[in-house]
Amino acid sequence: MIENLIHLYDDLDAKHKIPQYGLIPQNVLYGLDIDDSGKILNIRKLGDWSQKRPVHMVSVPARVTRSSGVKANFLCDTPQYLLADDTNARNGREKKAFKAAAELHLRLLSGIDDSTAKAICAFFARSPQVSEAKNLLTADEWKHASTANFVFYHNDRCVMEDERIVHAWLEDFSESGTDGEVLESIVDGSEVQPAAIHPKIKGVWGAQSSGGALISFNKESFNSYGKSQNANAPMSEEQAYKYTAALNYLLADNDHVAHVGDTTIVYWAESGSVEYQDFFSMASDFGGGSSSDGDLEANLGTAINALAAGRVFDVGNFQLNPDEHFYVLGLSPNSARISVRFFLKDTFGAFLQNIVKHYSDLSIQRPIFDKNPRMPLWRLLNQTTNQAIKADVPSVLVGGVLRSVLLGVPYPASLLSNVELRIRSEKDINADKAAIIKAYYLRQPNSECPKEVLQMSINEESENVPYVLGRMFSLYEQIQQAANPGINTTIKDKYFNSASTTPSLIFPILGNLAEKHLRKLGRSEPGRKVNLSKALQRLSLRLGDQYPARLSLPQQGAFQLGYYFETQKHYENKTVKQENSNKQGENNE
Amino acid sequence: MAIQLEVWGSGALFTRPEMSVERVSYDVMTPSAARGILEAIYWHPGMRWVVDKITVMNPIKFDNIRRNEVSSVLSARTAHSMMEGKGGEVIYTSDTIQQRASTFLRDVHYVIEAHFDMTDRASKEDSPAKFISIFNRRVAKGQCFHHPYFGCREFPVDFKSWEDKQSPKGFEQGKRDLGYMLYDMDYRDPENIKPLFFRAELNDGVMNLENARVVS
Repeated sequence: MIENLIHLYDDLDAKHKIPQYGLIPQNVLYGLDIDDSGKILNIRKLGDWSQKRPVHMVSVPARVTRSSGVKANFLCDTPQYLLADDTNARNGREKKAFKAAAELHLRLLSGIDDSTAKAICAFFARSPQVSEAKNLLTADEWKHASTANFVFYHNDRCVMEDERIVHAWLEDFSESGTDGEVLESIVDGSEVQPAAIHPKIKGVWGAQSSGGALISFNKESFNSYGKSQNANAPMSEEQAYKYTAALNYLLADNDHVAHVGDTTIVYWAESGSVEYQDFFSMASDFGGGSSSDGDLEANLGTAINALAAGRVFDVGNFQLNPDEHFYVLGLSPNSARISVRFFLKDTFGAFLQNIVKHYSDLSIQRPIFDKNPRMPLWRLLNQTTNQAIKADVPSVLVGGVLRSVLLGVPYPASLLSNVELRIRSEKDINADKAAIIKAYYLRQPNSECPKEVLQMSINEESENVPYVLGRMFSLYEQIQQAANPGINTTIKDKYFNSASTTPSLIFPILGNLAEKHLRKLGRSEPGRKVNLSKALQRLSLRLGDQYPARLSLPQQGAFQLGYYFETQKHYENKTVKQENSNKQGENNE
Repeated sequence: MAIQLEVWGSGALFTRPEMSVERVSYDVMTPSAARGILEAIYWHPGMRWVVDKITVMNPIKFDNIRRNEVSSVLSARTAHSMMEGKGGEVIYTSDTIQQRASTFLRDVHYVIEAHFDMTDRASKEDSPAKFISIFNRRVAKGQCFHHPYFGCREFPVDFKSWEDKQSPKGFEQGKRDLGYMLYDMDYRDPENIKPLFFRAELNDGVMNLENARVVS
């Protein structure tokens, strides 16, 4: 994984999308114009100053960490260091600061035959030009400027554009490092001096806002073989920088980060092309990420099918290749650390294939009012918790479900057991839950919940006893509702759970009740009574001579599906009838 | 003297050193884990196990768990002073509790091919033939010094010798790059034990270690 991230970094680096090792983006608001002799010509303001807080990001040499000591930065620093400004300094500290800055710049630049390098050397060879600088700004402006960053300009050009100077810095930066133990790098086997602490990872939801560590050994019990800190996982400073920079780059890109439960998901293609990420975020529907590509959205179905079948697909002028290597990484916070929930690598086409399979396993006949046939992942996971109190989805479940979706393997058993728990306490089964039960047993075949009941819509031919019982239960409920229209509490609220677990105890009671309801219905709507009792008879013929004593968990699944589908069928008939009668009304007019 | 040992279990966690705090397992068993299994069954100062080949028989599957562990360690010195009745430090789980996540392997099944070399600590009576028959007898009886495990004690190993005339077949065809993997620890300097890595690769589900490049 670290290796893949470093590879991604190198790709992004080649495209200049990510700061180079040794450079860091920094808000720099002032440019210090100097001439060949190092004299200050002008102070230019950078960025858009009409904003309340102007921002002008420049990629500058990596910052030193300052606490109380005097340490100079290269090429870009505050006036205290560059000009010996005493606004914020005491005890002649500004003189020491200027001296340190002069030493650093002269050491790195004096050997370079370059007019800009010479100008900077000349600048530091002079005495500090703080009064000249102050004259160029008003007192108020200076107050602000004295704590801000300045960068050198020479011949109307920022020094950071001078390749030779930047090169000198990078060379010096990679050479610096403390002498220490040499170990074999975990990334490529080369000999390195292990970096003690790695940069932090920012942007994982729920982790500390200042960032968390992916690789850290901050407790004694984490160490192995007497090694301390990151010598446990030897990696050079540069390698540590690269993998964290690449990961931070991915996490900062809001369009291609998904959050599911407490897991933050990033994904990338080996080539670093953003088109793959765009497409994946649309196809996966994990939430997060937005797309403005209307054309592609319209063609999404065809595109996914083409790629899943292993064909190349053109998006605008970019070609999506199903054989491209693709990575999906799930991170979640744990204490101050960040833990890897999963890391999946496969071809782009294979991921899409699994996603297509996931949605087709989940598809089920839905109520007419449900306009969203594809159930997004967050809705699937919400089915496992009590929505009335907005309970959190267990984090272990999120990782397991995501892995099942992306790898096309059976769903975790905890998904089913959590959904069953909700069904038991809600005494109802909605389309989403029925879909989950169906998908679960499709991937985890069980003879007690056979394929004949795991269909998109009702299977009227099925002889599966629990399934038929489920359908009968739905009929009993319909009979009750027909006999007593508008009642609030039905047999479902009282008997749904016990009927699905111990039919032999409950169904005789339900049969008696239905008898009475039918008698009552016969007085008001004799025709309907005949229809319903006929339907009931047809089902009871399939049951054999006695009700099963108890149903296992998979059999309960079949029962629940039978109930769900029979109920859907009832509603469907109702709406069709209504539509027909509406049409007739129109004709009559 | 080569042996073939079939090992399997419901879980395995061969911790990657870079992901050892929030543990993430390597994709397949490391050579040092295989060596540990063999040594748990039989080891003698006169022999040194060398793992030649690991065949991966089951597809690579991962799962997640979280476990409650502690953050501090008890040093040998304080344990010693407690032994002498001077009192010392104790670890209270509730004070130093640390929840750690693990990503581990499910349903693993491997065949280890290994041989051993004789060392200079072998006595006159020792011979390769003697060691191998002791090893085979112990495997047949299910004997071991301590129960072998897959990377963590929570994942015990079931083992038997591979009796099939044919050599074991991996779970997949083709090549799979596993990146850099821990080969073993270099114990030559006991004061400074260093990890050794090699480029791991599966060919038709088989990790061949005979020519593994190990820098030391």
